[in-house]
Amino acid sequence: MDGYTSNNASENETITLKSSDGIEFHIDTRIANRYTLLNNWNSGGTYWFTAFKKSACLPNVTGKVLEKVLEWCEHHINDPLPNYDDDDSRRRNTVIDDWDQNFLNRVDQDMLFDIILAANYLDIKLLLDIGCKTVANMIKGKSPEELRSSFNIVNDFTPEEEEAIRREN
Amino acid sequence: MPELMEKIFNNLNNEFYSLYSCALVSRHWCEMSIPILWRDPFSSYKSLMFITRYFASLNEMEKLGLKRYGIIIDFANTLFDYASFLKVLNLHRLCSNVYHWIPNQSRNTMLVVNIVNLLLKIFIKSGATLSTLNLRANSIEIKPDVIYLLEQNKCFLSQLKDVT
Repeated sequence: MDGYTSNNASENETITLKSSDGIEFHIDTRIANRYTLLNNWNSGGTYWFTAFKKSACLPNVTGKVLEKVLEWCEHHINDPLPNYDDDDSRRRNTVIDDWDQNFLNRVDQDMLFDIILAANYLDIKLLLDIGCKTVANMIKGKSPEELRSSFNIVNDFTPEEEEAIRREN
Repeated sequence: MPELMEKIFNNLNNEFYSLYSCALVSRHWCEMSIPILWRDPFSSYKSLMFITRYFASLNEMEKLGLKRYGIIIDFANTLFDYASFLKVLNLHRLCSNVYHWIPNQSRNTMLVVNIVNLLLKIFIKSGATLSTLNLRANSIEIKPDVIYLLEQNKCFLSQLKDVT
């Protein structure tokens, strides 16, 4: 039996998620049920779902980002639930499949970081893992100078510090 | 966010040159990547010069002791306490790295044993917490003062996930 069919949600049931900029998304309850935070209405997380448990406001996620996150969630709605408690199994699962690779390659860098932050905030572990792995792949093989320009980072080392790091490593 | 940076850099675990590049990007990137670069140096470093860095924390007596053994190295203070980042310790690799690190003319079994024991003390005192310990294929003598230090610094072995 697939992970999602073991819960009581019917396929047509939806809940409403509202982004920080007020855009509403009607999503299949099965998506909410897959993820801890979205599904957290019993453990004090009342602001996720209001009294009727049918809508939630996400103050840290914009509509544009939420749309991408939900696109990913919908694609993975029928995946078997991985065992998130097992770090090793998560690591093995971070081999990025073609659809995910394509999904993350299509977004620009700012959106990629926003998706990672949202996945972290919403506790969507697999999306967080593949997002981090994608950034790691962008880092691989680059020189410090290339990394600074790719990620728009200012070199704030003193010449002495930079020399010490080169000498010590 | 630091924990996300750590998560990203963890994917570069065995990518020595990428992590080295990251360490030279900025102070923040350096602080995030150096601990990963130094968590398993005995299996990943290409040059054995890294071992020298660990001795920066020795006191004058211990430095003098090393010199007496014919180990003439630069004891300059380091930017980081590299010993505290150690997570993976394979005793066999530690011994073989130390053996090759000692200059030919000074090398002998007793000295290897002494340096290995000295390094173990440095690691234990640094506050490092191991996640992996491999004791296989090794008959090196572990001295009583190392065992004593282990008893005083229980955190060194408290986070072990993998012992072979």
